[in-house]
Amino acid sequence: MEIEISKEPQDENEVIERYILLFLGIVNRPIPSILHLEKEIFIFSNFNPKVKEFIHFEKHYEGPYSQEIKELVEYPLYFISAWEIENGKIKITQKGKNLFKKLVEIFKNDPKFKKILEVIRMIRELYDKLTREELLLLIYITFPEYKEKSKVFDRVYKKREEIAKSLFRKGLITEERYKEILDW
Amino acid sequence: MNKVVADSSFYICFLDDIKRPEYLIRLLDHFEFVLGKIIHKEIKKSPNYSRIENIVKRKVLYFEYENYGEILRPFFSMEEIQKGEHEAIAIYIILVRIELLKVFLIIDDSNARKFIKKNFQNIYPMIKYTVQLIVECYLNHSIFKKEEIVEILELIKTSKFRINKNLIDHLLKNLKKGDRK
Repeated sequence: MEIEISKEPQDENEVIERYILLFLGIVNRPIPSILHLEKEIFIFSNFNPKVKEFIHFEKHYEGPYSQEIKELVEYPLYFISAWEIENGKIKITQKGKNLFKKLVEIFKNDPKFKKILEVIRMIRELYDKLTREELLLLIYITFPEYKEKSKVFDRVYKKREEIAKSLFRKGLITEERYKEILDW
Repeated sequence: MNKVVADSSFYICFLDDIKRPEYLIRLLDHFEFVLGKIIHKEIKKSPNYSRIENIVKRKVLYFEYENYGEILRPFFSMEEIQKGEHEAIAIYIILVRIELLKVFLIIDDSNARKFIKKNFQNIYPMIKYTVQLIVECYLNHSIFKKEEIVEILELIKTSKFRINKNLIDHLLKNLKKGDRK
């Protein structure tokens, strides 16, 4: 059955699923993991804090974590079969691509929406390139308050030199940031 | 009108390093400058900010509602973050992609330039150094007279503004050789 999509979402769950769909549809490749999706939406919520009104990030054993995202990506309530999880990666399906196109069409004249899409594209272009450890290291050093309940922080922290080298080699962090991680 | 996105060191160069806010005012009047929260906060710390306050309020496009710096914050050091380089890069990329306009990005820091080269190759050729924009203002926009450009470049050369002095010498040499278009 074809899923209908209108300008106004029905509730907060649909808003979150729309964000998941936008993150998946904007770049033509799967999101590497749920961890990546969680952290990418977390970064987006820092760009636009209004998002935090309906997506709640808590301190968790792998940094900032939203139960809502985890549940809705695994068991969507609205966009059923719009994406699938395969070997840990989240892939948009043809149905999802059609929905993404519809959503973009609905808001094509809204400058704020265009801006949101480009911010999401930029986040995906950068954060998808990170391995899980690189992602976690950057999250912990940037948002130290999320170390609190972490089960992986100590492991990541011990490997910080090796991870920082890898990030620097890939050109993903500046030289100053590299030195800062080593001195951390 | 061309838009310009620059980090705080560009503004501080005119306000404090060479102490020529009047030249910055001319630039702010000619182009449409775009400011994010971090860069704005940083330049407001300048003791000479009051000289440009009115024109900033009147002419500068201020992105005050979203935190553009947050997109790239994890990849930059604390010091770089304070200068707003990451914010300028994020604003620039979003602007260029949405508006498809000719926008100048002014970044002088070599680390930030390397970051762009590695991660956003297609925009790398569009970045300018502060001194390049200044010369372009004489060559293509008639904002400055030749003697003013020479004065600005000489002042920058002896100021604490961090720039490769050879680049300034090169620009001065070319200025002496040729005239504007």
